[in-house]
Amino acid sequence: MRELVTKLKQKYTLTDVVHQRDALTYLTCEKKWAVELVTELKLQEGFTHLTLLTAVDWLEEGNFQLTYLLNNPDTMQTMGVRVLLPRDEASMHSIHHLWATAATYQRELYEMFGIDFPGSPRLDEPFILEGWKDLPPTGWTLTPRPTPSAPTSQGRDATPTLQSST
Amino acid sequence: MKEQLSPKGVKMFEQDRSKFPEKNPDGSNVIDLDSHKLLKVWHGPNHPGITGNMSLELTISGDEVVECRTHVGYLHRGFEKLMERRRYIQCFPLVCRIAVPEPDFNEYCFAAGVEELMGIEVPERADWLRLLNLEMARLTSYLMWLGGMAGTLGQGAPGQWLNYCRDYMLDRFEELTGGRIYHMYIIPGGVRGGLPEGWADRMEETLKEIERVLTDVHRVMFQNAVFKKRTVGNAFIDPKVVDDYGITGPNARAAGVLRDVRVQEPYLFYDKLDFETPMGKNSDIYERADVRRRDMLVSVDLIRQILAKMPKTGDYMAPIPNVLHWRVPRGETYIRSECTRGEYGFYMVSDGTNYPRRVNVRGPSYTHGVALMEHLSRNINIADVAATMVSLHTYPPEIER
Repeated sequence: MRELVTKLKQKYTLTDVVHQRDALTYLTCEKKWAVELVTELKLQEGFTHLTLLTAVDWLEEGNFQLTYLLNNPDTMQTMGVRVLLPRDEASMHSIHHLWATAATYQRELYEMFGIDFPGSPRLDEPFILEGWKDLPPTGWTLTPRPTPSAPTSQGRDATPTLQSST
Repeated sequence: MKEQLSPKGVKMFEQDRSKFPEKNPDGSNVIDLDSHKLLKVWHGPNHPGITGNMSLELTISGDEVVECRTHVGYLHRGFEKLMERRRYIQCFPLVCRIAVPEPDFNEYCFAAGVEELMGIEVPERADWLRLLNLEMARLTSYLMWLGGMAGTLGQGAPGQWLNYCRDYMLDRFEELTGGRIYHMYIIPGGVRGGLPEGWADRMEETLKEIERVLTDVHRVMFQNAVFKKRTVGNAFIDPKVVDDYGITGPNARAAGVLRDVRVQEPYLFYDKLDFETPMGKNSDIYERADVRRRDMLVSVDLIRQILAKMPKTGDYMAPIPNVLHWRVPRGETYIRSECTRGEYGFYMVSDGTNYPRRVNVRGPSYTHGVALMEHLSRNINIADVAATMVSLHTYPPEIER
C-alpha cells in the first residue's frame, strides 16, 4: 500500500495519509481530483469493490467528510479516500457510472446530510425517510456535544436545540 | 398466444409479448401507466414473501414485472445517529439490534473497532469464544433462512423442522450468553463469560440433530421437482456485475466469484481452521440456496473444530479502564467480517472524545436488497418475486439502520 500511495502522490495532492493496518490506508484528496483518483483505483489498481460510501459531519470545522472505501478483492487491500466538502456548499460529483450501487449511497447521503450529487439517478426520491418534509436530519444537526469533562446531566440528557450550519 | 411444439412434441404456447413496453435508449423499459397495459402492485411491507419490513413497488405487464422500486424505512431507528450521542459502552447494547437474526456480527465489528482504536489486546481464549459465537450465529441464521426459502415456495414442513433445530441453537445461546436473540456477549475487551459445564456435549448433540435434519431437508426440498422447477435458472446474477452491485457472500459465491472474508482476509482464528468455502456456478435461486445449505454443514464442522482447538482455561476479558470514562484516541478504522449474507463491516471514526464521531454500518443487504433487487426483478414473473428476494437473504433493518 505504501508503494501505491507513493505512486499516487506523484499524480495527485494527497494529504493526511494514515496506514491504519497493513491492508487499510486512508488518505485525503481534493474534491476536484477525487473522482479521477477513484476511477484510477478501480480501473488500474484493482480496487473494484466499493465497500461503502458515507459521510462524517465535522460540524465544528464546518466540513462534511466523504469517505469512499474501496477494496481490492484479489489482495484484500482497502483504501479509504476522504474528501472534505464545506458544509455550506455540500456538493460532489457522482460515481454511479463506476458502480451501479453507488447511486443508493448517494441517495442516502442526499437525504440524510443534504449532500448533492448532480446527475445521480433518483436522487430526489425519498429513500429511508419517506414522507419527511423537513431539513436533512444529519446535515442540520443538534448542538455540538458537550466536552468530555462536562457532567453527565449536561451530556446526552441536555435539551438539544436546532441550529443551522450557515 | 402462438402455438408451437416442444422438442418432445408437446403443444406449448409462446408468451404473448405484444403488450410488453418498449425499451428506452438506455435499455430500461418504457413505463407508461396511461397506456392501460401496465399495473402497479405493492408487494409488502406486510407480505409473507418479503424479508422483514420492506416493500416493493412493482409495475407489471400481465404477470411479468417490468419495473421494481424498493421502499425501505419502515424500521428506521436511527442507530447510527443514536451512537453519536452515546458513550462507547452505551453503544454496545444498541449495535446487536441492527440485524435481529444474527446480532453477533454487529457486536464483533463494534468491539474489534473500539479495541483497534484504543489499542486493547484481547486474550486468546476470548477470540476463540468470539469465533465460536459467530459460527453459531451463522448456523442459527441459516436455519431460519432456509425454512423461509422453503416456505416461500410452498413447502411448510422443512420450515418447521429447521425452526425446531434453531430452537435448540437458541438454547445453547441462552446457556452461553444468557440471551436467546440478542446475546450481548462480545464486548469491547473480550467476551462476557466462558463455556458452562457440559455445554460442549450438549452442543455436539445439537449439531448431530442439525445434520440429520439437513439430510432430510436436502431430500425433501432440494430434490423436489417443484422447488427445482421454480428456482433453477431463475433470477440469474451475472458474475460480471458482482462488483458493479457490491455483491458479496453466498450471492457472489453462487456465481462462482469468491467473496468470503473468512478466507480472503482471515480474522480471529479462521486461518487456523481447516475448511473450504462452498462455491457454485449457476448463479440462480437454486444455486444460492444450495451454497447456503452447504455453508451450514461447513459451520457445523467449524464449531466442532473450534471446540476441539480452543484453550480450555485462560482469561476471557482484557483488563480495561472504567467503561464510563473511555476516551478513544482520534482515528478511523474499518472492521469487516463475513456474516451469512456477505461482508458485514463497521466504519468507525473517533474524534478523541468519549463519544463516537461516526459509526457507519455496512450491511450486505444495503447493496443486495436495493439496487440488486431492482435489477433482478426486471422481466421476471410476479410469482417469482418473493423467491428472488428471499434468495438474496436481505434484512431491511441493516439497510436503514
